Amino acid sequence: MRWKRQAVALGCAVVALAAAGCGKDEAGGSGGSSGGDGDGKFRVLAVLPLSGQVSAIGQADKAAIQTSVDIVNADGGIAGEEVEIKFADSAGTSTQAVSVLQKETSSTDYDFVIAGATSGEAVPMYPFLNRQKLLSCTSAASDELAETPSYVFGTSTLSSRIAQASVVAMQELGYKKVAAMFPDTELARNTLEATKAAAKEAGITLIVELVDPAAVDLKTQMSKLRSKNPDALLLDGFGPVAGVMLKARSALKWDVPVLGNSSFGVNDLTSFVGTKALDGVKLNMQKVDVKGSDVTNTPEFQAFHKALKETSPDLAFGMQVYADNYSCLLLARAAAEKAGSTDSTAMRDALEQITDGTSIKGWFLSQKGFSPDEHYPQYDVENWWDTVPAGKREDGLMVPGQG
Amino acid sequence: MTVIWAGLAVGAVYALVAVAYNLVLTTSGVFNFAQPQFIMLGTFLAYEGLVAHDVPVVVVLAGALVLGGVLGFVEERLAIRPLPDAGGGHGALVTTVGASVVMLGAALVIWGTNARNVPPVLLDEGALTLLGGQVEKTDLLIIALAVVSAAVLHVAHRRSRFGLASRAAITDAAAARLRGIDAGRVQTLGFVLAGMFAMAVGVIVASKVTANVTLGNNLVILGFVAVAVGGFGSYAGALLGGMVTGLAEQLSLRYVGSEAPLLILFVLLLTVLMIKPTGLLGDREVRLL
Repeated sequence: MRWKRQAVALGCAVVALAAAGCGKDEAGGSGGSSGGDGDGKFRVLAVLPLSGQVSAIGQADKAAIQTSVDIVNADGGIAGEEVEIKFADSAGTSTQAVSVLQKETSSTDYDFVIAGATSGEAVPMYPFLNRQKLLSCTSAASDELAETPSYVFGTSTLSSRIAQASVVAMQELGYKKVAAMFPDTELARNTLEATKAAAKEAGITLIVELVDPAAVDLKTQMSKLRSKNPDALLLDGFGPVAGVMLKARSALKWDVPVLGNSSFGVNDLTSFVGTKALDGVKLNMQKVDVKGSDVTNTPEFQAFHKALKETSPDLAFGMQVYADNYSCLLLARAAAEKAGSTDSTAMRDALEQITDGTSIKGWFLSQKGFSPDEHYPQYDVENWWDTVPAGKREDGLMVPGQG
Repeated sequence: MTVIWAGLAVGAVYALVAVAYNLVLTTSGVFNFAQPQFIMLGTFLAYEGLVAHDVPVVVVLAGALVLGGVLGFVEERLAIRPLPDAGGGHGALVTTVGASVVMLGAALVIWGTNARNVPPVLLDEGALTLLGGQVEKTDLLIIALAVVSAAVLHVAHRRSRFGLASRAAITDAAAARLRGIDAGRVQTLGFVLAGMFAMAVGVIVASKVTANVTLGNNLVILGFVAVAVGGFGSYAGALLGGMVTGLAEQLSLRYVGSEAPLLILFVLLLTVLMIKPTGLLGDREVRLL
């Protein structure tokens, strides 16, 4: 009978261990929703593309996040705990992003995760973050993440809203027939589809030309658009392709008015082309990117901008890139304060109840907040976008009217 | 006509890549996948010299020739020479890709992923109306450079002592050695010349293609198509292949659609290789790898 007692004891041990494991999950998952573990630290994991092809943007994100950590800690931390950040490298790939997320969260209880700079990283991390009930924030603009919100919040502008804003601008400028040149990338295709739908609703005819994002000469496709005799040219695109588009227009001596959407406007255009090529170019910009706008004139923005310049003097990207990442930790702080806890579920529920963006301390993004159905900021086209002449950038901000 | 000019300008860039491929191919039998990265580095050298440090263009070009030559020498010594087979064998496929990755990685570390604008060299900015089409002055310069370099190298490859020595070395290295030709030296010199040429090309085309780290990878395939269509080892073929590739790409963009060019280019490539496996102007099969 001795073996029977041993078997029963072993069975009890297995059940007890399983129960302990289940208990931990119910308490908020093993991934760190500890709700204050008493060691005085609020642990944040930031998974960013610190190496690889998009490392420049990852480094910019890192600088913005570090700025938010410094400011929040100087202000007393989150729920009385000092913020401790760990930066992990996704190398800009989905597999590495998921792998590093799993590795980090298996060994450390994190209270908050900043999940990726691109949708290519953020979307694959999304199921794991939800399964582990890890409150997270991403600067990646993905309608896919926004459609099924759970533990993931976003700070950036969704492509559907960029599209809506550019169509409103086209209406205001009186354009009826618009030629559109977009790079053939996933993000641009999403924006294009949304732009097509919004333009159709607004009664604007859109003639579209998708271009290779690696193209070195776009005169052929630009002349194809010119042959349709449009009222204006709508441009989208981030990186060198934006310069190639403007160079093609200049080479063809085409004086058609140009409207760049906010994806196009985030470029430092004067680094690609001379100021002459910016004649007749207007940009539908998010106000956070424009020097002297009512957003960048707020004390909250100016405090952030000053601190960011101290840690990162060479602001190579549009301010939107930095602001989206900076704002993630502000959300965590607001959620913890409203919830009175650092438990991830309580923080998520609290954040969903913050419907007024202006009530978030330090926040200068959208005036509207969040809801159970809206985990991305709800930007008003009228309040958040402005159409301004293209100009050069200074300290990450575009100076309008000098183009 | 604007489309034709655009096709010729883009084709000239592909032709210059193909000429650089051929400089190594005709002296060592190696297809150097790292060659377009020399052009990418040349564009950044142009940015550093002309924009960041305001150095005269002649000095920048001289610097490109020196740096390109040194890098070509280093690549040959580290990536090709240690391989057991003459000309590198199949190992060269891996090691030249490795050299390409190293150069790309170094560029990423130094310059990051932001593209940089470079002003035109030798000619001022602006476009002309020529034969009823619009063309930038820089494009005319690039087309002229492709034509002249292909013509000069075509003649030099057939008439000069070095050209004849390299043809002998590539045809039969052992026999060439018996005739007093140092095949190893020819191979090294081929890498050095190709490095010099490609990096100087990078300086000249920088205003068209902008300085950006993705440039080398973007050119590697289309440069390959140009050299394969024109004929491996033929400089006149490199020019023809580049122009045909550029024109086919731009005409399909204009008259078929933005998703058509790659498909059309590869149909063109397969058709040429099926009808004439040595390429349009290739008169012999180069022993690749």
